[in-house]
Amino acid sequence: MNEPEILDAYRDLSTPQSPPPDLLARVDRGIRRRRTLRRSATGLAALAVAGGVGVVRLGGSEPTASDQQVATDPGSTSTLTFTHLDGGTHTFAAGDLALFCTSSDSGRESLVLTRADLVDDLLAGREPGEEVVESAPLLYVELLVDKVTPGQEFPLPFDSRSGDSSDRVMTIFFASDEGGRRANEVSSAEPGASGAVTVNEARCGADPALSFAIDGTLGSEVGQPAMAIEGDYHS
Amino acid sequence: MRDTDAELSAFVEAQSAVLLGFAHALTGNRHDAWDLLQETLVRVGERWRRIDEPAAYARTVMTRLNVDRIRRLRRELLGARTREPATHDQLTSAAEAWLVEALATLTPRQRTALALRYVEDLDVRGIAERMGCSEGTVKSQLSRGIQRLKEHAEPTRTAAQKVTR
Repeated sequence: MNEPEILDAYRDLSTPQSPPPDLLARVDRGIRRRRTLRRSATGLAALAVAGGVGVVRLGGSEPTASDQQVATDPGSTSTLTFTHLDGGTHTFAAGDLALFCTSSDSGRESLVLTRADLVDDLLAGREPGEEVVESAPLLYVELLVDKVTPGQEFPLPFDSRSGDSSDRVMTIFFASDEGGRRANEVSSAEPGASGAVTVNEARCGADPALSFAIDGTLGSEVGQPAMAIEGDYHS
Repeated sequence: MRDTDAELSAFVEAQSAVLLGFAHALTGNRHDAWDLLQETLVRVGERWRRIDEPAAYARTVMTRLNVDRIRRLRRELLGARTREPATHDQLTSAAEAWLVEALATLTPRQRTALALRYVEDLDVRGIAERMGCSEGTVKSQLSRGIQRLKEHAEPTRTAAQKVTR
């Protein structure tokens, strides 16, 4: 296989193709959905204060040393609770979460907080199986360490100009494990996100640490209602 | 219809076929390409009034979205429960079929770097700017990606030679 052969194959693969006839309508709906979410975000945040919208609470964990610098604390009593509009909840024990340092897609140092059972796969560069998500809700938080100074407040949504998560100071993503009408995937990058996060500490190295407080909403990526998020995390 | 809507519609109609081809090279999969195109155009439309060069901006957005870790995580972990059945690719040549098979063995960042080199004809610096990463990272992704393509080509070529003998 030589360069001209690869070039020929790419030329065939990238030949202009007719898009589906309803492309324009789909794009228009997508734009309107994001704009509507952005406009309604403030109202949803107000509802959340009154207790009418789902809530995510983040709890703390203590770091432990390992080759991968993964911090977990099974003994911590802090929890993460996710509440649906209908009052249903998901609760995570802090011991189910792990904090570790990694290199972001843009090559910068980042902290990741997620379910402890996903960490081995993520650190090894493997894609965890779908059954992992089917079995329990997913939390994924990623923060660029060099973009943060202690005590700094970041307004939501966090989104880069290109939409690339590796350029964002922070991404908070949550997915429920349920199907049907209760299924939801919410993100701090969506237009429906509002409120703010205050990052008090973000550090990599042998003893990774993360501390932040949040009060706001996360926007849905799948056309469902936005969800409120409040609480704090301290490693 | 406002002028901006008309301009955006004209842009979508004029550019979508070419962008869909680029998306196919980035993903190696028609379903993912269609999904990527749609998400890219939504982002472009959302910022339409603030964009000076929409075609270039769309390519950057598409490139970044294709390697977006959060987006990938969402698609790969959660996609199965909501995804429509993928349509079968209609490949026009043996070379294209070989490349689609080979691309399935690459990481998204390797696929992206290769597409930018072979489709967009960008040099290492240009690829790095488009992907938002260092030139060293690009060199590494290109090197590993090309190596994998060649490794994939060997058994394919050997099998083809046996058939023709």
